[in-house]
Order: sequence, then C-alpha cells, then structure tokens
Amino acid sequence: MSTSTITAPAAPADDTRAVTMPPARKRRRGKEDQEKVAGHAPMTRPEKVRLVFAHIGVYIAAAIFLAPLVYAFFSAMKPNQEIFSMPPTLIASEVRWTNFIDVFSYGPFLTYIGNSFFVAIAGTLVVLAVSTMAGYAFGRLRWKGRDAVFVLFLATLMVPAEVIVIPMFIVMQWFGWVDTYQALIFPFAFTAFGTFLMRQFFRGIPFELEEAARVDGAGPIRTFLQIILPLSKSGVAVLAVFTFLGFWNSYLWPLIVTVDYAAHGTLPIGLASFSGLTGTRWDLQMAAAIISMIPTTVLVIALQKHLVKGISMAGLGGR
Amino acid sequence: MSNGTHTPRRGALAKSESRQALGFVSPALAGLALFTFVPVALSIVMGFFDWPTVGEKTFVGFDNYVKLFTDSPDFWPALRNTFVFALLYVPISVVMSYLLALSLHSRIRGRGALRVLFFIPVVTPMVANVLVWKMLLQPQGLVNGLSQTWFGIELPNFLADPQWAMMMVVMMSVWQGLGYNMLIFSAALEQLPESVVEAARIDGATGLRMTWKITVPLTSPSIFFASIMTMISAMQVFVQPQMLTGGGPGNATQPIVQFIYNQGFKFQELGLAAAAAWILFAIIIAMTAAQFGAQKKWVHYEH
Amino acid sequence: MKKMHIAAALTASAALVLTGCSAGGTDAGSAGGDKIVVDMWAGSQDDTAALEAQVAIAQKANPDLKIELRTAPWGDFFTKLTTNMASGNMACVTGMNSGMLSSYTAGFAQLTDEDLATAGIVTDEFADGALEILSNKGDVYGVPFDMATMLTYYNADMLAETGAPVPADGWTFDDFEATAKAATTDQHAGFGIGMGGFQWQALPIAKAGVQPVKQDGTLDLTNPAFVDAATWYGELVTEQKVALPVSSASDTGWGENQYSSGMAAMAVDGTWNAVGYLDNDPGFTAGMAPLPAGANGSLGLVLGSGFGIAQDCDNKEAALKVLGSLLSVESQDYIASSGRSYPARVSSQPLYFESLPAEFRDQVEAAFESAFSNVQGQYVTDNWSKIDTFVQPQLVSVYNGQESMENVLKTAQSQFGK
Repeated sequence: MSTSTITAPAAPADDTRAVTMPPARKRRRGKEDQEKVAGHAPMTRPEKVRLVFAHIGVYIAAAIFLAPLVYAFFSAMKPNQEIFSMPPTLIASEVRWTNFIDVFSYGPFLTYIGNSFFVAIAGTLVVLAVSTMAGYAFGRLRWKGRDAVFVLFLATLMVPAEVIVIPMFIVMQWFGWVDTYQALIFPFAFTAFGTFLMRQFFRGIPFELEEAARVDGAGPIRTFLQIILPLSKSGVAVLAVFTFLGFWNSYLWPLIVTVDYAAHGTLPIGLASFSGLTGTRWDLQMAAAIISMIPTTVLVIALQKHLVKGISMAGLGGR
Repeated sequence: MSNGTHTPRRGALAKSESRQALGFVSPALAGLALFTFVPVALSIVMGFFDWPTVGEKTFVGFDNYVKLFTDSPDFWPALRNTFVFALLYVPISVVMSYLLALSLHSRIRGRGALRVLFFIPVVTPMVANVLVWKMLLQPQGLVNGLSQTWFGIELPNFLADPQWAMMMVVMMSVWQGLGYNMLIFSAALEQLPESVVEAARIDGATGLRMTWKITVPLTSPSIFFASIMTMISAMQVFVQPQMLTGGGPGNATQPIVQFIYNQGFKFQELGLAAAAAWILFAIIIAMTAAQFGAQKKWVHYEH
Repeated sequence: MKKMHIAAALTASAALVLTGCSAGGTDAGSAGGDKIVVDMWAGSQDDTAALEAQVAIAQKANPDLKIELRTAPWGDFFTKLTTNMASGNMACVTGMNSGMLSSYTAGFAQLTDEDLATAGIVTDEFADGALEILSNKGDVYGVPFDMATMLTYYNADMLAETGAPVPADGWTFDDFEATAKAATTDQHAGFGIGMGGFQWQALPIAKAGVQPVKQDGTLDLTNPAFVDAATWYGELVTEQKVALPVSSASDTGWGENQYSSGMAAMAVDGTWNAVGYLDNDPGFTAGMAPLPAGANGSLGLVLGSGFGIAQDCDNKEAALKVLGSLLSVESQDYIASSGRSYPARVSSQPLYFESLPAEFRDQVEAAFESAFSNVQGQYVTDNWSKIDTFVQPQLVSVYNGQESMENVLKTAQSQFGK
C-alpha cells in the first residue's frame, strides 16, 4: 500500500474521462456559481432547520472521526502506567510533555526524521524533473512514435509496486544499492504517473503562447523553461505534494531495502521498529506517532486550497 | 490520445523537434526501463526458479505455481483474506466517503477545516495510524474500557479473534482512507452542472430522491474511479495487518502481500514470492477489466 | 515566481547538505581493506551505547583498523541479515544467537582452532560448553559473549499484596500454579503468557523434560510429553485463567511486556533481561527464580549470543582480531560490570553479580547458579526460524481458545518436519 502511492495506481487511458479533467477555468467558474447560490439563495425555514441539523450531524461525525487521534495525543502525555486505566481517562494524574522529548533519546528518532525529509525531498525533485520533461515531450512536442510510447508508459501504471518489489530488490543487489539512499530515492521515482499528470496539465495550456515564442526564435528548451513551466505552477505543486507524501509514508520498500536502520531508516520504518523496542512504552509510541503526523499535517493545512483541485486532477494520492 | 492541432511545419524543424523530444523523454524512458520493465521481466523469470536469497538458483518450471496452489498452507488463506478485506473495505469506504462528501456541502460552515481534518489520517504514515488503533483496541484500551464503564459490557479481544481481527483491520482502513475518497467525491460534486441541479430542484426533487436520481448518476464517473482505485489499493493491503494483527490470529488476517513479503524476506524463497506476486497482478488486472466491463451499465459520462 | 525560486533553491541546498553528510556511509561491510564492520542487534539507545563502548575497546586494541558499528533491532536483525547475505553486504563481524544460527550457517565462516588462535581466543578461559553455543552439527561458527538461560521473574510487590507464595529455588509446577492462581486478581494476571520462541517453550520444555527437537536435529514437536506440557501451558490462559490472552499476533513480547509494565505477577524470560527487570519502569520490586521443576526435573536450555565471521569477508584476519578484542577480558569485564549480560568468560562472571545492587545480589546469583546447573544445549532444526514464524501467530488462537495447542504442533510438525 505504501509504495504504491508513488507508482500510483492504474489509471488506464480511459480514465482521462473518468477523472473528468475539465480545464481549470471552467471548474473555477462552477465553484463560484455554487458559492453565489450559497450566499444569495433565500432559505425557507425548513431549509434552515435542516441546515442546523446538517451541521450538528457533520460535527458529531467529525468528532467521532477525530477521537482516536485526540485520545492518542492525550495518551502521549500520560505516564506509561496510566495509559490503560479503568475507567479510561483523558488526562492522567500528571501531564507529561516531556514524553515528546524523551522520544528523541530512546531511539535514533531524529535520524529517521532527517532521512525521511531527505529521501522525500530528493525523490520529489527527481520526480518533478523527470515528469515535467517527459510530460512536455508527450504533451507539447511532435515526434514519431510519440503516441505508441505514451501508451507503453500508461500500461506500466497497471503494475502495482508490490508486484515488483521482489525483483526490484534483486536489481538493487546488481547495482550494489542495497541499504543506500539511492535505493530509497530512485526505484519509484520514474513511474509513469507523474509524466501522465504533467502531460495532461501541459496540454491545457493554449498552443498559441508557444507558437508565439517559437516565432521569436525560442527552441523547445527555452519554451519549456520560460513558458510552459511558469504556467504550470499549480500542476507542479500538486505533483510535488503527492509525491512528497508518497515518499514520506512509504513503508514496504524501505522495509525491504534498508538494512542499517540507524543510518538509513525512514520515519515509518523507525516508527515500526520503535514500537518493537518500546514494547511497553505506549506513552512514547504515541508521542512518536503524533510527532510523525506533524509535518504532513502542516503541509496539508498549508496547501488545503489545492487539495480538492489536485485530487480532481488525477485522483492520485498518498495512501 | 493525440490531437494534432499543430499546423504542419517544415521537415527540418520537425526533425530537430524530434531530436529534442527524445532528449526530454529519455530520462523518464531510461528510468522506466530500468525500474519497471527490467523488474517486471525479472519477476517473470524468477517465478520459474528456485531462487534463494543466498546460494544456487535452479530452474524449476511451474513448480513454484504448483507449490503455491497445492502445497502452501498459507497461500489460499492469504488470497481469501485479501478478497474478504477488499469486499468489505471497498464498498464501506466508497459509501461512507460519498455520504461524507454529500454532507460537507457548500453551506456547511468550516468545511475547509473539516476537509483537512478528515484528510489527516490519509497523509499520516500508516504505521502511526496503526499504532494509535492498536492502543485503542487493546483489551484494556479505550474501546473496551468505555464499553465496560458505560454499559458494563466486556467486548471481545478484537485483534486476537479471527473474525473481529479482520473487521478491525477493515475499520481502521476505512477510517484512514475516508478523507481521500471524500475529496475525490467533493471535487466531483463541486463540478455538478448547477443548471441540472436547479432544474431538478424546481421539479420538486429533494433530499434522498434528489441525491439518488440526480447526484449519484451525475457523479458516477468519479464513483467508478474511486472504486477502482480503492479496490486496487485494497488488493495490496499490507501495513495494517502487518502491524495491527501481525497477520494473525493464525493466518486469519494475513493478506497476499504479507504472504509475499514473508516468503521472500523471512523464508528466503524469492522465486515463490515472485510467482505469488504475479498471481496477485493477474487478479488485479482481471478485476480492473471486469469493472471496466461493468461500468457501461451504471457509469454515465456527460459526453 | 520568485517565491518558487527561493523554495527550489532551499530544497536543493537542503538536499545537498543532507547528501554531503551522508555520503560515504553507504559502503558495503565486507569490502574495503582496513575497515571492519560489526553488525549487532540493539534496541534502545542504551543498547547501542553499550555496543559502542565494546567497539571502542576493540578499536583501541586494533588502532590500525577502522571499526564501524551497525545495528538493527532484534525483531528485524535476522530478516536484515538475510538481505545482507544476499547482497554481499554482510558485515565481517556479525552478531549471532544460539537459537537462530541454524538458518544462517551459509553466511558464516567455520572457525578452526587456528582461527581462534588468530583471534586470541583461549577456549579454556570460557565457561564449559560456551563454544557449543554458536556451533552447529559440530562446527564452530562463532564465539559467544554471553550465556543465558530462562528464568521465572516475579513482581514481589504483587505477590506480597495477594499473599501468593514466592517462587524459590527448587519449586515445582504445582507451586507455580499456586502462585499464579493466588496472584491473579481483577487488577492483574498471575502470569504473562509468552509469544517468543524462547519464552513460550521454556516452561513446556522444563515440565516435559524434553526439547521439541531431537539431538540429531529432527523436529519432534509432537513428542507426547512436549504436547502435554505445551497444552498445559496454553491452558494457563484458557482453563486456569491465570494469564490474559494475547491481544494481537503482532505483540511478540506480550508476556514480558505484561510483566514489566506491572500487569502480570510473573513471566518467563531470559537471564539477559534480569537487570532490566530489576530496574523496571513502574518501579516494582522484581525477583527471580529458576524455572519450576516437573516430574523429570527442570530442564533448561543454555542459550547465548556472540559474534561470528562472514564467509565472504575480504579481510578475515583483521575481522578475527576484532572478534577477539570484542571478547577480550576488558570487553567481557565491561559487559559484566555494567550488568548488561552474563559473560561467557569465566573470569568476568563474578563482576556481573558485583554490579548488581546489594539487595538483589544473592538472590540473582543463586537463581543463576541453580538455573545454569540444569541446562542442555538447544537443539534446532535447519528451518527453526520458519517454524517460529509459523507458530507465533497460531499461539494467539490457542490462547484465545479457538485452536488447540495439539493441533498447532501437529500442523507445524507435518509442515516443517519433512
């Protein structure tokens, strides 16, 4: 499940329709319309009552949904002996903020976080570079065999990462890459998914712009760097976010290819092994789990406006 | 796929464009060849070998496949578990997230914040989610604790009971993936042509009827898309059982990917693992194809 | 646009800094002239620190070599060792445990007398039978740094509170049941049931007086005496209800965790954790006794961990020297006096007891002495670790009353006993 995020699931050719990829402008207008309706349409009394109930329902659902995380957060601040108390409590006899600090001295937790950041950032950069370039070639340039090669690309989207982890491990052996950063970064950075996404995005840019640049004597490289990329910021951002999440949360592949956890372990690996060696320390496990949620949650909050858009663009994501 | 809207250009230019295109596409092609085509080909080959992690590899023909189907006590249960998981998880996840997306309509205050909230488990490392749930589901944990304190009912030992363990893996997964499908549906709902919705409303369609007759059919492409994606990810479930139940009790929650992992990296039989992976792949393709075949019956495209 | 540039520059430089820091650390273990990698399991930061101290001792003894330490938690160490063996990445000096050796002999070099001499190991200086700990079918694959056996640990506070009889040297299985029953209350269980191979098998082996493997290495899980004893063990949960059922197959340290977190009055675990338990987190008074005796005495296994040399190590001589200094008097004195494990070197053994707080010293020494007087080397099959992997999740069903112990053992025997 984890590594599959990067390979991102089969989106066969037909799916372009299923994903419904309307030009960004049209979608935006649709949203405005809706907001207008929300703002101006007069509401009848039963409608108002219903709306109140809708709010109550949604907020109750949200509270239930969030309960495990809230309870985990409070558990992270309990003394360990009071984690399982009968009856359960939210706040124990004392509030131990220090658990969040103790986590870092119990295992090489800081190394795991550092590795995760490094691998996720480096991997995202590779994916962005490779995908935008290839997307440009498929979406904006004309060359012989383009469509055939593109179909080949799309076909690889069908292959789940779980199917190729075993042979991928052998390939890593051949390269002498077992237990290296390269092995964490590259193998799943060349999936067709990013290319597919970028191609779709680039095709939405009016060709006239490019033609104008061509007339001025700009070659494909300049056009790519100066016209296409600047116009595709949001698409690139979306790909970047989801690629980052994919790398950040990836578990199966790092589990296989990392040997020396203290050197190359990423956060999910660290977290899993951490739970083994802190068997009884639920307080620390919860503190570690909460800490591991922070970076991605911040990322999501910062980019929440793009989330719906990104999802609707391709339905890719971190799972 | 292609729409050749370009005006025809002179040959030399086209040639140079071809060359440059090759430059643009070659990193992706090289990477794909190395990290997808080679492993895929290799996994076919490995499936026909007795391929220990260390030592001599020997060609065994279809022995690995035969062994899986006839002589591997965990293989059939692993397949069964994977299907049970997918059959429970996919419909529950799709229906619940669709309902959630419907409820989070534009008149709900703070829906941006709520969306982020439902999305947190999606972007959190799965391992962290599992740890939280494992704590809740301990016999002395919150769930049983509340049940005993409030209702005086002692709940089963969730993760150690064959049926309950699978239910809990499903439940935890639904919770984790809810926000993702919700966003897919939210995006689809926002794109509903307002005219159609208004027209239906004027015709007197309200509430459930409106949802069932108008909204669901109009968003069926995204429902289809979400179902396929969710199904594919369900077939590949690994972390939740691995960490939450350890595949147990017995092998009651061990899915096929965990089986592959164990064969390959615990029992050092990479050939057997590769063969099992191919069976999983074949199943995923067959199921995806089947869903595409069935989509004509219920998915409505605007075009 | 400007913002994007800055962000890109930032991430790129961050990436560069990180690669800069990490480059060079990726070199394989066995290669490289003067570098010797030592690979060992370590859980907490404390474990790692102790290993680092031993490596420092070895480094001092071999100033011309560069010794590097690599660690993984116990649960992953052996999975990773497979990976290492496969990728030619196995460390020249690799840690090994008596119970696991049989599955990994392919990776280790056999140590001849000459090799041991090169390493500076004098067999006589080690405890009797110590060299057998890391031997398989008569071949020596490693030298142990510690010797271990299984003990019963108890929570003295809990026993006092419930008035349960305190385990003592020479106690029987009836005594064990009495204590477990008396110590079981609504608040805590009398016993923490085991999930790990060593932990769950210890009592059945002691009770039955036989191991589930014959001396010649054939699997004997269905030996009637063993089946009876194992069934009795499972029934501690299901029938006698003195132990709580395990909550998930992923809780591999269930019973020990129950005990050390103050939720069970007794547990069976190795001598390697003695000091950890005396020094437990919740702060209860811990005590220990040998395993109870059955009709056939009280059979225990002598276990232990140590270091071996990778088969494909390029610089075997240097590796042997490192191995030798990891087992030198100084190093053994260190692990003994820090109370981390009970050393295999005879002259260092007393230091282990001296390191303990005075109030525990006599009790621990007595328990160790008695436990080690009754031991037998562990017999294992070549696929022993597979059997462990198979049985463990099945135990959850046994403890929860959904499967009989006899069935589990029968299935395992028919599947792995061929």
